[in-house]
Amino acid sequence: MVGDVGEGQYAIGVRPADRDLGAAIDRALDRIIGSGELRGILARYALDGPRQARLERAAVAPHTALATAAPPFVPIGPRPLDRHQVVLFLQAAIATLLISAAAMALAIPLGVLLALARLYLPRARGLAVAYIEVVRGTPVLLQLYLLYFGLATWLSLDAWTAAIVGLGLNYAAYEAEIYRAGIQAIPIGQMEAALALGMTRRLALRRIVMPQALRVALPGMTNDFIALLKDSSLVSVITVVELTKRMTITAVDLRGWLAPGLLCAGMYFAMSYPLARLARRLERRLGGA
Amino acid sequence: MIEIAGVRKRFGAHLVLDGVSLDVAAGEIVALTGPSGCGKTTLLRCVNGLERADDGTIRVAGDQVPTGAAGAAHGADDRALLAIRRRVGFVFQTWNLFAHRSVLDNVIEAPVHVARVPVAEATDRARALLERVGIAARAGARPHQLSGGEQQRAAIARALAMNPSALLLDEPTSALDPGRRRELATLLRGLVDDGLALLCVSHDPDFARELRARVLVMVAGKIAPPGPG
Repeated sequence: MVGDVGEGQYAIGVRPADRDLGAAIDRALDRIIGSGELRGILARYALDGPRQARLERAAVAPHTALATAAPPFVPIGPRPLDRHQVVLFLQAAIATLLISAAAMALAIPLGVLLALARLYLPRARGLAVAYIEVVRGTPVLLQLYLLYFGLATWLSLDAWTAAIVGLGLNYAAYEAEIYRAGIQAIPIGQMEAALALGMTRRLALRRIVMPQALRVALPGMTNDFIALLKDSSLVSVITVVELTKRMTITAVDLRGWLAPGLLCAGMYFAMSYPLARLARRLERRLGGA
Repeated sequence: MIEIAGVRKRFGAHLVLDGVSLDVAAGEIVALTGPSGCGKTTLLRCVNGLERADDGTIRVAGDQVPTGAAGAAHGADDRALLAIRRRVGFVFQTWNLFAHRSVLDNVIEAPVHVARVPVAEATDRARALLERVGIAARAGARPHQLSGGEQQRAAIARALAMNPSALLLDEPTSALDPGRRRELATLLRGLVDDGLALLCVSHDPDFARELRARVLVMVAGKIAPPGPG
């Protein structure tokens, strides 16, 4: 131990109307201070010391005067947002976007591998199916806890890495099923035509089937990315400050949830809506309806 | 060019091909007719290995198409199949053009990515082929923008782009009116006169006549003996 690092005090609060209760507590405290019982209790938890003795001497005499002089309780309204807080919000929005984009960048290739394993690698199929079902079937919040806190003894990830890896591993399971559906939506004749031209199955998948499957999968992927953008708020439980966490911090700070809440909602929407538009344009460019 | 001997193929309990034997020489057209479900399409698919024949031998230009139970040597079988498919063009009944690519890109896909022909060279050749089949003007179109007859010809151009020594066609006239059918017959005749071996499954006796094909009739998984006359 390095000695004291800070000083705290315990207080008992009562509502202004409960004067009898306050007085009774004061009397009880006076009694245990007088009898030395309080110091005994504090000593048992290593909280006793010279400062405590000073505090007791100060407390016994004037507390009744203090209590009667307390001002009546007046609720205070929320403070408005200032510029500094808006800047913090923007930083938090960037954090949300970075985490979501990085998690998706992990989920897409892993999802493709899982889908291909499920469809074309009989030996790996069971493993892929098990991964997909377990990951989809358990809460992402729980997975984040396990990854960050549960594995901390063996695998010490920083909060950002854990957030990105956790969300990425989780979303890979959903992506895998979207790609599987996309691949299975492509008529078998496309694969056969490619094979008949002398392509290997791998080349046919890469050149002929996957590009068409991507077009089918794109709306689902957009959907998932927008969902991920919002699910990324869960990583605040493993100490990452992203948009929703910034909102709750600010709300407590300002004693008001409305303005921070609306600002937060506006920022999520400002990120997801252009994304939806972009995806729609990409769909059109890839052809089809 | 195509030598088929004693080929059998079973799907579950159903014996689809029951010892089929036939040869197609270079520069010859064989039209295979017969009732629906008699195994014509399955035979075509066995020739380029889209189905694996259970028994019998199939040779294309002297090379053996893997048949029988797939053994431990399936890596070698796969390589043999790839080599054979590069020399056998296949035109599907439903054409199966690559839906996400233009007509021109459909035609150059295999030369560029399978035969490793430089893109410029493959493109020149593809344009010449599209010219020959009569759809040069549609080179930039997507398959879904084409009529059935145009898709048919695009599929033929795609198959010819690999310079095959044999061409397999499955019901090529099903989407064509008589005028288009005669054009197709003329086109195919021209290809065969250049030395191609052509095996064509067709219901259409008029088309077989226009092709001046040797007609074989298939019934219940066997080639029927030639009838009187």
